[in-house]
Amino acid sequence: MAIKIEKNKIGDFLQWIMENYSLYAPVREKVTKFARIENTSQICFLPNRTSLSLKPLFFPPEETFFKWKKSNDGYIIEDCLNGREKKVIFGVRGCDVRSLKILDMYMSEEFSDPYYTTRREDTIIIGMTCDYPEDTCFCTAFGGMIPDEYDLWLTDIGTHYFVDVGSENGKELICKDFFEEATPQDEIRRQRKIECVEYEIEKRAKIDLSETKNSFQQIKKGDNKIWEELSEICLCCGRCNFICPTCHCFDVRDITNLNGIEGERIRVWDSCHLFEYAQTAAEHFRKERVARVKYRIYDKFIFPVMRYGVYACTGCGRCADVCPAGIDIYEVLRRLID
Amino acid sequence: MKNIYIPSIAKIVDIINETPDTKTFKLKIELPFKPGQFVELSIFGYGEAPISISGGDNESIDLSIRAVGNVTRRMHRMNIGEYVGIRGPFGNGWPIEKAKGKNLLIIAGGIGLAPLKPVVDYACKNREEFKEVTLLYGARKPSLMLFKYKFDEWRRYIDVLLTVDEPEEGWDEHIGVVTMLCDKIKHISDTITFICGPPVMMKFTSMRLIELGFPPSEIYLSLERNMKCGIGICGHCAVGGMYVCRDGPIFSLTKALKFIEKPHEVRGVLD
Repeated sequence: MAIKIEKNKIGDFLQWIMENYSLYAPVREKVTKFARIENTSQICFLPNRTSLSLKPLFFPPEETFFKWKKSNDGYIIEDCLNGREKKVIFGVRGCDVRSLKILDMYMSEEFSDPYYTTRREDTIIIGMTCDYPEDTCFCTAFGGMIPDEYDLWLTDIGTHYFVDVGSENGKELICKDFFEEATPQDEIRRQRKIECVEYEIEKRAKIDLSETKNSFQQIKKGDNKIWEELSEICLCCGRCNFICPTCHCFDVRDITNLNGIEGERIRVWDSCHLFEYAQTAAEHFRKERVARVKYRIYDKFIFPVMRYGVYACTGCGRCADVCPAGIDIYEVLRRLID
Repeated sequence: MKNIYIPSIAKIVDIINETPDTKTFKLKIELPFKPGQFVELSIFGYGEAPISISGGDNESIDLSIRAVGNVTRRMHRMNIGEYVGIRGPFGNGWPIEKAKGKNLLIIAGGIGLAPLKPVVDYACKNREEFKEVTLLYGARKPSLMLFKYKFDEWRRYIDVLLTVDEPEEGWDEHIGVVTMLCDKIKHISDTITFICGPPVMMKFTSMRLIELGFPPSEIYLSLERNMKCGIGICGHCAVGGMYVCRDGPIFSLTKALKFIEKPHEVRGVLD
C-alpha cells in the first residue's frame, strides 16, 4: 500500500513519536547535526545532509569505558556502559543510513563493541530524500539517495511527503491518523523527484565504481604520482577522519583524579593521518606523510573491499567540505580510476 | 555478556629480573591461553599496553616486559603484592598443530623470545610430537638474553644455538647476528619456522631462510603493532587490510609479504 502524509501533519506525527520514543532529528547549534528533541520546534528541516553525521550519536567523540578506584585488595571497577534507549531518528539521509551499516560491520565483526551496540539497538530510522545536493555530494556512486534498508522513507512531493515503508518497525509508526493513501500520480512525483536530484548530483560528480570492486588492484599499479602530490598539500590534520561517518578509530587513555586513587579510562576519536597513530614504543610504522595519506584512501576503497566486500565511503562529501587543503575525495577517486 | 573493555584484576606474585631493562612478572589470574597470544596489561592511571604471554599455568600467567614506553616503565616500578588489570588473551597464537610430526625451527631476537617461550616449553614437554626441534636465539649482549636460567633445561630436549653481537667475558657460544645461525640448520625440508624479533631481524632472517630454500608458507612471524583495543576495532594495528591484534599477531610469511604496497609502502612487515 502506498501512503503519504500531509506536510502540516508532520509536527503532530513527530509529537506523537516523542510520546512513545526518544526522538532525534536535525537541529542547528552552530552547525547542523542530530540531537535529542525535547520540543518539535527545535527541529530543523534541511534540504540535504547535516554538517555532522549520525556517528556521534552512537560513537561519541569521547566516552568513559569505566571508573576505577583503588581499594585494600586491588581495584573497584565501575562499568560505565550506557543503557538501551528506544529511539527514532528523523530526517536521516541515504548516505548516513549506509554509513551506519558500515559502522555496524566494523563494530561487531567478531567481537562487538558493547558501548556502540547498545546504543545502536532499538533504533528506528525515518529517512528523507534530499531536495538538492551539496556541492561535494556523490552518493550515486554508492547506490544513490535511497538505501537498501530503512524503516520509513519520506520524499517531498509538494503538499505531502510520499512515505515508503521499509520494515516492521516502520509499519508500527503508521498506526495513527496522520497518513492517507497515495495515488499513482504521487508515486510518479516521488520517482521524478528522486531522479531529478540524482541527476543534479551526477551533473557534477559521476563515477562508476561497480566494476572496480574486483579490479581495484589497478590503483596499486596505476598512477602513483598522486600519493606524492597529495602528501605535499595534505596537512595531516585529521579533520577528514573526524567528520567521516565511517571512520571509527579511537585511542584509549587513562585520566587520574588529583587524589591519585581514582580515575577513569576513556576513549577518544583518533585519526590515521596523525603522526603518532601507527607508532609503538619501539618503532614507527607510518612515519612518512605519504604513507599516511595513502593509507586513508586504501582504508576506504581497498581494505574494506578485501575484508567485507564493501566500500567504506558513502559519497557524503563531508571530508571535502572540511579539508583545509581543499582535497576532494571524489577527485582523488577519479584520478585513481581513470 | 562480559564487557570486553573491562579488565580483570590480577595480583603480582613474583618478579624475575631478566636483564637490566626486562623483568618477568608472574600474575595470579586464571587465563587459559595459546602460545603466541597476548594480553592488554592495564596499570590504572597510566593506560594499557599489549604484552605477549611468556608462560603460565592454571592459576597464573607470566609477562616478560621491557621498559620502553610509559606503561612498561611504570610496570618496572611495581612490586610483588600490587595489582594490575588484564584483558585477553587476544590474537591467534602460533600454529603448533601444523608443526606436529615435522621439524620445528624457532628463531628469536632479543625480547622476541618472550612470545616464543611457551612454544619452547611445549616442545620440551611434548618432545615426541616433533622431529628435530631447534632454537636459534640472538641478542646484542649475553647480559641482554632472557630466560638464561632455562637454557640448560631446554638443551636436554632440543638444540639451542645462541649468538650475541658483542660478547662479554666468559661467552663461549656464537658471535654475530642471528641470521648467520640460519646457515647451521641441518633440517630444511619438512620444517615449520616461527620467528619473532625486531622488524629488521625478522626481515633479514626471512630473506636468508628463503635463500636457503624454506618455503614462505611454512615460515610464521609474530608482528608488533600499537594494539589499543585488542579486538580489531580501534584501527591502530591495521596493516594491509588485516588487524594484527585479531588476524595475527602471527602471520605466515606468504601473507606478510602481501602487506607490502609498492611504492610508498602502507608499511608491511619487511619494511
